[in-house]
Amino acid sequence: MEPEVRLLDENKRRLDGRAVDELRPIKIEAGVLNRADGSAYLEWGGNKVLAAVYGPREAHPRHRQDPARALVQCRYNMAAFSVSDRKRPGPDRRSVEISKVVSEALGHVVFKEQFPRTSVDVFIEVLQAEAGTRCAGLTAAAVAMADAGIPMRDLVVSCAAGKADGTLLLDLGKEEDNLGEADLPVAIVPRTGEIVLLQMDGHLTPEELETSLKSAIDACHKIYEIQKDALRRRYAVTTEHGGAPPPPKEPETEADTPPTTEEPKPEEVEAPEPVVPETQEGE
Amino acid sequence: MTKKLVLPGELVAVSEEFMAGEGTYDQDGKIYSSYVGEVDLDAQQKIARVKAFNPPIQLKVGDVVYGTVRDVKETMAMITLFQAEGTDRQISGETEASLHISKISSGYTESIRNELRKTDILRGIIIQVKPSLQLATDRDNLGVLKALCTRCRSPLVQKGRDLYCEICKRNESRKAASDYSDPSV
Repeated sequence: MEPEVRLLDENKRRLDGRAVDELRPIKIEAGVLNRADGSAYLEWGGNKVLAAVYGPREAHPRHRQDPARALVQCRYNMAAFSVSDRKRPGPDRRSVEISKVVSEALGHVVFKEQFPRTSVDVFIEVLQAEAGTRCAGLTAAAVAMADAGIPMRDLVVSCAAGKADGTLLLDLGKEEDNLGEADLPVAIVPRTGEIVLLQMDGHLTPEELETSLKSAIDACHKIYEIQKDALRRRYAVTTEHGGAPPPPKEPETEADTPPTTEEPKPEEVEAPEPVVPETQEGE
Repeated sequence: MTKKLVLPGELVAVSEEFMAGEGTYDQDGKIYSSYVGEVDLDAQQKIARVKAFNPPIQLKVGDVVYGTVRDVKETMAMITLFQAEGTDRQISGETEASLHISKISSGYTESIRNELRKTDILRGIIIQVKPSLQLATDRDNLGVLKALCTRCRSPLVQKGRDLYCEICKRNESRKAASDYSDPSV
């Protein structure tokens, strides 16, 4: 298939000016919603995603409860206005699939046996979509889960790689995703390197698969730092006072804090300073 | 004691030095945090803990809770808990508790129906978590906080030791909490 649009120029620069192995700018903010037990807002290039976590709470319907462990239930939803043609609201084949793979990826790191008969409910709302929303949603959901105090082995980070115009690319943009040859979303548990999500759309040779996988995993480690930084900023205020920190979800204090936007409108949430990937801190 | 912010999966200590306590887990001889929280290395007991900033609410013995009477039986009442005191967060796990007739008040209880009725909202204290949640209300500050008239369903007001329905002009007896008229919730 010869694409009519040139996705790469002669210097191997992409349509948005990125290099082949360059991520789109990412920023994450944790604890943006007052009513949810944990939440996160993420911007990843043109993607804008809100994630909220409730629970562990009693699982409903009750016949789905597991007497030995918690369920991790996820709902991925795209807003009607998230794409240029209005998306028909409600679950469809694609969003049901994404909900399933994302809940399985997140469920892998949760200490589910600590909360029998309960469910951890994760809601991922895509406010604006521009390729790679499942990676963005999963990355945001992991931060929201940590913010909700769900006991976890580690965060989960996700990033996609792929192929367009015959070249292997990292973190596909909209045109590259639509017109390209392959898309490979990957999610890992960074500390152990376990892969908890791996899907592929299109065709890659085994060698290309290996290279793409490696570059996606490398990118995941960079995004992991942004996730950790978001959580540190969220709780930095709490630790500065020393001693036993007040519960971060006090409604009075939350309401007084101006930067906490309850319903982040795109122009409002653009205000926080962009997150620069931090230098590696010693673990 | 060290006060350090850690994130899930961050190294807290090593197994040679410490035991993995609350909020941590042990993997391959290393102790990692499972919460976003503060590290507490107990040098005396050799236990590494992480105190979560925003932990889920897990009920334990001694917690004060609020609930609704779901059912009244001969020797016990079933209570559906909806809130634990001192937190906005919902309860994680089991919310169905039972309240035995002997734990309703400090005196002798002839019949549960003299102390509690279905749909009453009450404050109780947890006295058992496993195998099942058990409540007690045998203290002054514990007991019914809001009750409706069993005949006309209008709210009852406190009058002397009993509760009184101003519409039906009659008394009903309850094990009311000491702050029934002005609950400090």
